[in-house]
Amino acid sequence: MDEFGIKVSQQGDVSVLRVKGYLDAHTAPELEKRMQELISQDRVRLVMELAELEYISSAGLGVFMAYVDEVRGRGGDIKFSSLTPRVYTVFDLLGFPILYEFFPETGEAVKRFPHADSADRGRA
Amino acid sequence: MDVNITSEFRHLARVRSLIEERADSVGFDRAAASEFILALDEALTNIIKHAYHSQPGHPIEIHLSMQSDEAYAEITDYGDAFDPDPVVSAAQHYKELPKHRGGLGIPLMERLLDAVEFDIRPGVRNVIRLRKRRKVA
Repeated sequence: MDEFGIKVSQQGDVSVLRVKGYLDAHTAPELEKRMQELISQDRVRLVMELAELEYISSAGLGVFMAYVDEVRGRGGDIKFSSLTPRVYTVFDLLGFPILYEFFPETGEAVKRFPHADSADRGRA
Repeated sequence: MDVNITSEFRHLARVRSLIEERADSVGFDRAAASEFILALDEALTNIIKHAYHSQPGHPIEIHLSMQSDEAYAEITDYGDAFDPDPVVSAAQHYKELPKHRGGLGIPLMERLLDAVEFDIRPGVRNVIRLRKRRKVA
């Protein structure tokens, strides 16, 4: 079984969280901790890249629900990219596509944040 | 097959693996097995959180019956009784979703399974029964 892990990288002012492995009630606190750290640093433009996420339960979904109002209230958002069909099905069953944007590629998700492109150019 | 665990989230992965192996051994449909496993994970998480208030060391008994066309589990705990969320329509659930961090587990179980039943006997024991049939092509 793949170990759970999160890698965070910056693309301009957008934080990309690459989440891999199994996200359940045991591992969800780790994701919550990373999200809290980012939000406390005023990093509220978040893309969850889930290509290597093998499994998600509602405990994982609850973490996104817990922070979405706060990040949107501060001008940010949580967007999702690169989900496998198996993981997307779980989001879909609970109506997440009505509330969040999903993209096949991380680059597309990053670009959907206003000014993300100009921030990238500024740092290039 | 009977599996006994205590009320810690770290056991979830082991239970999922055991059921996956069992499903493979009896030839139960993989997609249906994945949904059954997720529903069972939700039930166990619910018990640990709500019946045992995330306190470790309390017993949870899982009785599993798996055949090529149907998976069935009966999960017993001896914690506090909890009211399962009332069944709500998908539209109502979506409308209320932004307000809730928790409460997603039971709606998810209902959508994943063919049948879910809560047999709550306060002060005695709680039983959750899950049933999933093989998808018909």
